[in-house]
Amino acid sequence: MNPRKESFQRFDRLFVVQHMILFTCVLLLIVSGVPLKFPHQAWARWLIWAQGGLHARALIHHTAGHVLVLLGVFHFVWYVLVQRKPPFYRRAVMLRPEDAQHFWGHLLYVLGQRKTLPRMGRYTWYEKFDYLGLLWGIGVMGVSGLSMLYMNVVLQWIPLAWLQVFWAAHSEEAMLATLFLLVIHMYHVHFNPEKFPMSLTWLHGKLSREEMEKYHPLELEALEQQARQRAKEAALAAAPTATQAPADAAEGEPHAG
Amino acid sequence: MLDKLQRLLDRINAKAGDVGSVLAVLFWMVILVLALAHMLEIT
Repeated sequence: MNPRKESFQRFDRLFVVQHMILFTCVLLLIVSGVPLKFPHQAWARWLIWAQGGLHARALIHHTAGHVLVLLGVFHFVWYVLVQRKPPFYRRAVMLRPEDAQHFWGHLLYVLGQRKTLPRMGRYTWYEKFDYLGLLWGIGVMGVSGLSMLYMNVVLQWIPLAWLQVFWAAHSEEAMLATLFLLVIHMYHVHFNPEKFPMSLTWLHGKLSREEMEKYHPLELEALEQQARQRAKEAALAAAPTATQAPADAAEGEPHAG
Repeated sequence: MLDKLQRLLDRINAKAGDVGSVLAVLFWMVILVLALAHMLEIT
């Protein structure tokens, strides 16, 4: 097999579908939400008009928000309580001391002070940062958004001032998320010279051997070690069958004759 | 289908991968200018 064509499945189909729902919802939320922050701008008024007016904009925003919250709940329940596998379980995505070393090594690499990237595992420091930021974002946006939407219910338990805090948090976190996606995520998946014009990982969940060697060498080593172990076990399992075969054949000979 | 698309993307990347860097800088400049314009209330 051509090593360039060899690929490794890093995300299963369920994960890929969750990501598709996630970015669809986030794009809809940005398009329907950001214009509210700049109501005096012509482009914001045009964007609201293009969505069918204020009522339709609200419908789009609230529907996408509910789907995103449900997705977050499903993601948590599925990976933590049902499947009990990474990314959540066993704290695979939690930041560790070595992530600080990887961050420093990565910084030196991009500044040309180091020839190779630090040797990172299943989740790199920036992937953990990205993922945990997303979880935090869904939590903040979900709690603040739902509280504002269902204020008649929520105000029975919390003072009115909290809703003003929620409004500020919702608005600023939305800008933070939008700018993060435009400035950093767009670069990583589209503009990065290694990925331009687009990475297809969002469709098939795979990484090439080249990408694994560069960004996830420890995971690649672990996967290859597992493959060697499986091959050894398969060979051991096949061995008695091979020694058994002549005896079986000998037993079978009289019948064949 | 995905393989064909991947081959097409690989060909584009081999010929024009560095275009991404130029587009990224232009894209960041646009965002920066828009942010500055908003902060200075020029728009």
